[in-house]
Amino acid sequence: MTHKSVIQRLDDAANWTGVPKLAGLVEKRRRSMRWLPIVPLLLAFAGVTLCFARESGFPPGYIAVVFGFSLSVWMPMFGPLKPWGAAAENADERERELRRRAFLVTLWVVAMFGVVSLMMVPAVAEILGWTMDRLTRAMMALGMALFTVFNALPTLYASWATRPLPDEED
Amino acid sequence: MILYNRIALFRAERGLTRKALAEAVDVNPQTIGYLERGDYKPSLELAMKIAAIFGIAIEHLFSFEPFPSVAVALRHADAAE
Repeated sequence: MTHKSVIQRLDDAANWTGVPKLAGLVEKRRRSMRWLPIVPLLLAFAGVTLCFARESGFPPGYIAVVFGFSLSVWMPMFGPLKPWGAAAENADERERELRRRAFLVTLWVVAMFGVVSLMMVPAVAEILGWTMDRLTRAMMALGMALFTVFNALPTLYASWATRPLPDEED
Repeated sequence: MILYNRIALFRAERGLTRKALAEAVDVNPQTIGYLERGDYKPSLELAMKIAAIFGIAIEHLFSFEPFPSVAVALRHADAAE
């Protein structure tokens, strides 16, 4: 049996919670995610479509959007892109370049999606005579879908932009 | 434009692991792997750092023309002698 000091046991307990890893204090193994980010994106778009199509009642579309958003939050934590300013994850020049390209593409998509939505949704609401309640729900779902794109698309882009390397041979 | 390199060759010759080379030039080991595979073009600073580690001129490590294989290079060397 190994004897550990109280401090070591406290460290073990803190590591066991997983919080240091999430906070970027421990270097973690990042992986290419070529398919997983598609799930939250699909959920978000299906959810928004449902929100727009359904007139009232229990909103399954909104639930799909929220679920997709909840999934997308995990993508930056385990995907190939290292976050800005993480103490234990020092991004080198290749990783910084990849991150720059991934976010440039993502921000372009989010901006276009946002601008088109801003023009289309009020027009559709006016034409179809939506109530303020329905318009609010649609806009909230759309906002959350945009957040989902912002979370998941950089991971998706970075995963497809590079072919995964085989495990270290030396 | 494709940038060919002989990092893997020089690394093997010097008996350096990817990790050791990566630490010497202050990048992550994966970046050395992507460089060797030609999937990433290094900055001038990184290219010069790697050339300095091997103690060679940068044009011996990177080229826009494919490098001759070791067998061809040896044949040429034999013919020149």
